[in-house]
Amino acid sequence: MLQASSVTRRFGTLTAVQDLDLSVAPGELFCLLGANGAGKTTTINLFLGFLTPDSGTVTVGGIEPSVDPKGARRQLAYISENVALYTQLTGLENIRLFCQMGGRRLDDHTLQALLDRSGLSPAQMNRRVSNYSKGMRQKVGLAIAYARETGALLLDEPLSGLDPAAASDFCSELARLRADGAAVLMTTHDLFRAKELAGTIGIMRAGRMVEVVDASTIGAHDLERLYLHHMRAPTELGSAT
Amino acid sequence: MTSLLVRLQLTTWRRDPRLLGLLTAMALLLTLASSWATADDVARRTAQQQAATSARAEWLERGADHPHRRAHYGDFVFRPAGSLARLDRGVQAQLGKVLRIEAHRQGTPLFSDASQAGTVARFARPDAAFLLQLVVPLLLIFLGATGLAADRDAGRLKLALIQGASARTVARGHFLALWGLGLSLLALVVAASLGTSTALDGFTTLAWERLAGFMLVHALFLAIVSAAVVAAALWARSARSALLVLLAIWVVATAVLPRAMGSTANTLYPLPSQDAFQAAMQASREAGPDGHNPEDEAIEQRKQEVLDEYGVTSVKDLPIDFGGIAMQMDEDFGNEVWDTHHGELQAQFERQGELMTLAALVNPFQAIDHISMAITGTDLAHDLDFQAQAERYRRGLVHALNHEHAYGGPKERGASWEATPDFFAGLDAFEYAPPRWGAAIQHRTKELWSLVVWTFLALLAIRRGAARLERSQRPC
Repeated sequence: MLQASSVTRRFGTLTAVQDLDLSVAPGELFCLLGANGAGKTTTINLFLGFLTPDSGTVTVGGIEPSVDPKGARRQLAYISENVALYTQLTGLENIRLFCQMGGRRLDDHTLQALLDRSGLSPAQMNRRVSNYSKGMRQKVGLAIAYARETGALLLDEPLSGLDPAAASDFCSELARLRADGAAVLMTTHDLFRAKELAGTIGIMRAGRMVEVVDASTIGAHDLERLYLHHMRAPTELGSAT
Repeated sequence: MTSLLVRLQLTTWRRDPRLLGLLTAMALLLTLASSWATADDVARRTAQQQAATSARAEWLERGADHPHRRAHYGDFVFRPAGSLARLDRGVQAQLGKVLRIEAHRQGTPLFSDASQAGTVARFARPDAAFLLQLVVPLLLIFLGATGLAADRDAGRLKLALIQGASARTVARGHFLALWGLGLSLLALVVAASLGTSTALDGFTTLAWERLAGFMLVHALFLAIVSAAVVAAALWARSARSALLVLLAIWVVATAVLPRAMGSTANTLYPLPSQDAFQAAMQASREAGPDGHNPEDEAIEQRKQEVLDEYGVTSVKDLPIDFGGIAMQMDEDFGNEVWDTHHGELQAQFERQGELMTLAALVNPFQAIDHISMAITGTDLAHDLDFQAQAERYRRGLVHALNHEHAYGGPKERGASWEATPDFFAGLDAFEYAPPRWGAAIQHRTKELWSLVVWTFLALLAIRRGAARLERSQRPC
């Protein structure tokens, strides 16, 4: 569903992603680990079609986002570290708005059900987003992603800043999505959540994928050791955002 | 989709207490300014009408009089306010509005509002055009920075594009929302003015075709501003840089460039001071005939021609009063001198105006200012037109008085002869006929084209900026 083959992307003299190979099949959750500037967000933006690879190929369901960004995005849902919502609208109004932007007119009952599924109570969904906590915003983002009913989900550090309960709820929903057959690519700094959720874990450093491991074959402490080993190794390349 | 985004903007503005407060304050300010300027305009027109009536009454009350005495007594004409001065006072405040009409002497209008208002007048120009051309754009710039540019910074634009919205549609929605707000404020200004007009003078002095033109060009100008704001949000790296760029453009376009061009025009094409102009006029006049000096050579020569024409040897034997002919000779020469000097002055004005027009081609803020003043009848061209009509009236009046002086009355009249009150009553009072608005706008066609081109360029900038986002040539 999500495929990157020998992808390189530079920003001036800085190589943000180099020779990246990555594949996420339906029903698979791929976690990208790496320090800030390792190239994780650049990878997400390449799949979203907001960046064009300098070389190599990125495809979403067989469509190259750089060639047909709209076609690729039709198959994607996206949740960022800080879900960007209109703060003067309620949660319900936000999900209705973003659905209408995608050409989908869902009735309020369906929208409320989506918000309910993501863990937002009826009282919360009718409050303005300016009064929401970060976790509540992430839940609206998740409901927007549900509404798209896409085969692939891109998550850019969605757990960052969530309290443990909210993070746990969020991870439960991700597990359900994965079980429903979605291909999920998630970037995170949380090694233990990655170990808990992912089928495959990739470690990026300075734009390169330095390690890809099957999550079922490695323990959490070994994953941490492996991660730190790569992070502390002498660097050859610059870093990216 | 576009209407969805327009509604989104309206909801955001309505629900954000700061923005709602700002918009309410702006609406109140515009309403008050427009109503105040309209009431002021109506009062000025009434005062001007009363002054003109009073001057005419004085003219008639003098009764029988010697024509040349009356030519020196003179009359006053009053420059009426521009047809739509209630919306744009233009340069009227700096120009004199009372012109003395008398023989041998041309003058420029005196008693400008600015000269009588003290230093406060320098800062007081709270008319609708000022607010629409300077303050409303500032509001649109601010709202743009909190709209599309902020959406980009926060990631809402990114989420919208991922949902399937096209960047072009999003940009169009933001443009229409901003432009719609600008048009609403424009409509508010006009409604406030019309409401005040209805209450005070029942539209009797309102020029409807000029009002339509005023609305049309301001709608075009606000479209340029709205499009520029959206384009900046699409092209700038962040909301902050978009805001800074737009504010810098606003400062340069509204304050720096007009003043710099004004100074340049004054340096390249300097105007003489009032004293120097009058001194030059006086010097030129001294070379010509003096109707009051019986020993003047030219007058003497003309006297001999008239005596020969009538076959007599003395002016006492003439069936006419040679004094009237001498006065008209003096007057004709004075007119030539005026035409030369005033023509040179007007040529300098025109050269300065051409330079300012060139500046307006690259600066829509100057272009709308020029067009607005032309439409409302408050620009320098209207003032010069008033002066030209007043001068024509003066010449006609003085010629009629001199003719009566020379040929009026019985042949055997004594030194105490006076023309009848009916003669003076038969001389029409001055009535200024402003040019039709089509003619008034004709010399601003370059600025009009400039606004059209700027609209096109600003919309093109939106289209290309949106396409860059669509083609993922820059991150959003």
